[in-house]
Amino acid sequence: MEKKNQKKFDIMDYFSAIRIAAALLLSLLIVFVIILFVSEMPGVAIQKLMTGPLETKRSFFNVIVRGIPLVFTGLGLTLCLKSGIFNISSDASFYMGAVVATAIAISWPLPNIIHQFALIAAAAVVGGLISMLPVIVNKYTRVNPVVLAIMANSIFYYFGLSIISSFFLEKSGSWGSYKFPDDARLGTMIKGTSLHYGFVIVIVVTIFVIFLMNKTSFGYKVRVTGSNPAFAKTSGLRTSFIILMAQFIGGAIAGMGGAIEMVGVYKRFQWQTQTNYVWDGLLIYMLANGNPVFIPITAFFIAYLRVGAEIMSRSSDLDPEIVTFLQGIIILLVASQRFLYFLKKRHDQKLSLQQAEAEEGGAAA
Amino acid sequence: MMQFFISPTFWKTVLASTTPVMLATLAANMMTKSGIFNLAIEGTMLICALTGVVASAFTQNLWVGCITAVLMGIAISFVFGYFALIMKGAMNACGVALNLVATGGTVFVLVMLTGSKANSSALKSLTFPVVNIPVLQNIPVIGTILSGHNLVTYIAWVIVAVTSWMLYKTKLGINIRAVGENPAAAKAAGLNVIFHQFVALAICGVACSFGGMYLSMGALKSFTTGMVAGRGYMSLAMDAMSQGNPVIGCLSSLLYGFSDTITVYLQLYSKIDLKLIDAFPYLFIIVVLVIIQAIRTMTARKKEKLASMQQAA
Repeated sequence: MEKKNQKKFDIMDYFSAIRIAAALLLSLLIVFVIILFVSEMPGVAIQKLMTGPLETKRSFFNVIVRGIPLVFTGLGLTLCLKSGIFNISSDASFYMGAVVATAIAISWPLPNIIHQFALIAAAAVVGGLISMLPVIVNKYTRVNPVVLAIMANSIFYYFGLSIISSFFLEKSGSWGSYKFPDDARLGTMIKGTSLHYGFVIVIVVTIFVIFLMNKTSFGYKVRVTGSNPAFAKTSGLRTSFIILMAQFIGGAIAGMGGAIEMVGVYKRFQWQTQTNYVWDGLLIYMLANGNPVFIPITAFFIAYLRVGAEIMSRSSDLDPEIVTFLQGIIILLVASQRFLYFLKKRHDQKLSLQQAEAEEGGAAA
Repeated sequence: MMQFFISPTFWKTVLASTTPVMLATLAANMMTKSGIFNLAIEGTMLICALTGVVASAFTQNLWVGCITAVLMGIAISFVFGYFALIMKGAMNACGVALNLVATGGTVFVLVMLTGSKANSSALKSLTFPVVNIPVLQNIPVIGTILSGHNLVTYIAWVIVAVTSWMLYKTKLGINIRAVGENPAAAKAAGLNVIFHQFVALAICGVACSFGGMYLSMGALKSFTTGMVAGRGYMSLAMDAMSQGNPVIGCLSSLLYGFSDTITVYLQLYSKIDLKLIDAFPYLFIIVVLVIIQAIRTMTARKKEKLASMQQAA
C-alpha cells in the first residue's frame, strides 16, 4: 500500500515537471516571436540570447557569479513560502545584509577568515530578524503579510541607503562607500575569472537547506504547517513558533546572500537602487516547484538568461529587459493550475478507471 | 519651519499628489469588495502610463490616447482575471508576474520607440489640461486649494463618487459585494461569480489607467521608467485601512498625499538625511495602518469574548 502511494506521488511530480517545461518553452516561444517582429537581426539576437554565455570562459563564470545571490534568495524564499505565508521580504533582508556586511567590513579591523565569518553571521542575524517582522505584525493586526513585506522592502532599502550615505560614504568620486579591506573580501577561486569563494558557501547552504527541509522533523513540521495549518494546530504543533523560525532561517539565508554578494563581487558598497532579487527568487522557487534540490539549477538557469540577454543587447538592437518580461510570462504560466490541466485530468480519469476495475475484480473474486 | 502647514499651496500639493494613489486605492477597493487580491495594480498603472503617452504622441489626439490607455488598463486587468480566476493561478504569483511583465515590457517598448532607457521625452506626447473652476477659483483659500488642478484629479473625484454610489446603491454593486463576501453563497443564489468579478476588474482597470495617465500626462509631461514607484503597493495598504470602502479609501489616500508632500518640504527645510526622509511616506502609512488594525483586532476580540460570555450566561 505504501509503495503504491509513493508511486502516485512520483506521477504528480512528473505532471508538474511536464507543465513547467511546457510553460518555459511556450514563454520562450512568445519572446522569440516578439524578437522576430521587432528586431532587424532576429537570428543573431536569438542565438546570442541562448548560447552567448557559453562563448567565452569569462561570461560562463559570470553566469555562476550572477547565480549565487539568486540561489540564496531562492532558498530563503523556499523556507518562508513553505511555511504557508507569502512573505516576500527577502529583498529587505538581502539589502540590509549587504549594509551590515559593509559596516562590519569597514569599521571592525579583524583578521582574515574571522572577519568574513563575523560579517556573514551578523548579516544573517539581521536578515532573519527583518524577515520575522511582517509575520509578527500580521499576527497582531491581521494586515496582509504581502503588503507588509513589500512596505518593509522599501523602508529597509531607504534605511540601509541612509546608513551607508551618512556613515560610510567616501566623499570623492562617484557614489560609493569606502573600499573594503582585503581581509574582508572573499577571494577569487579561479584566477582570471570573477568566481569567488561564495560559491563554496552556496553549496554548503544548499545542502543544509535540502537536509533541513527533507530529512529533519523541523522541515516536515514546516511543510505540514504550510500545507494545512488547521491540521498542524490540532495535531499539537506550535504553528506560530514554527512559522516564525522558518521566516528567521529564510531571512537569514537571504541576509547571508546579501553579505556574500557585497564582499564577493564588489570592492565597495554601490547599490543606489532597490535590488529586486525577490522577484527572481519567486520565479526560481516556482520553477523548482518548491523543492530545494532544484533551486540551484533553476537559479543558474535564470542567471544564464540574464547574462545571455546582456550579451544579446551588446550585439543587437534589443534591450536586456526583455528577460524581465519573459520571467513574468513564465510565472503566469507556471502559476496557473489549469495550464495543461487536461493532462492531469486524463491521468486522474485513467487512475480512477483502474481503481474501479480493480474493485470490480475484487468483488467478483 | 512648520508654517507651511497653513499655506494653501501646501494643501493644493497634497491634493495633487493624492490623485494617483486615490485612483489606485479605488482599484484596490473594488478588488477587495469582489474578493480578489490584485498585486498587479502597480504594473497596470505603469503600462497605462506608457500606453497613454505613446498613443497620444502617435495620434496627436489627447482623447484617443486616453481611451487607448483605458482600454489597455481593462485588458491588463482581464489578463490578470483570466490567469487568476479562470486558470486558477495563485493571485499573489499572477500579480507579481504581471508586474514583471510591466517593468520589463515598458522599458523594452520605450527603448524600441525612443532609443532611451530613461524617459519618453523624445516623443511629443500630449498632457491633460489644468482646469480652473469659474466661481470657485475666486474664493480666497478654498479656491487656491480646490481649483486649478489637473483634469485627471477632477475625473478621479467623479470616478470615486460614481463607484461608491454604484457599489452601495445599485443592484450590480450589491451583487459584486455579495460575490466578494461569500462566492459560494452568491453562486447558490444564482449569481454569475466570474462575471461580477470581471466587472470589478474592469472598473479596477479604468481606475488604474487614469492613475497611470495622471503620472505621465499630468504631473509630468513624459513617461519615465518605474515612475509608479510603489504607489500601487501603497494603495493596497490604504485599501487595508479602508477595508474596501471607496469613500474611506479616498480619505485614507489623503494620508499618503499628506506624507508625500511633507517629504518634499522636509527635504527642503530639515537637515535629516535625504534618503531617510524618502522612507517617511512608507513608514507613516504602515504605522497608521498598524495602529488602526491593532485597535480593530482588539475590539473584535473583545466583542467575541463578550458574545461568548453572554452565551455562557
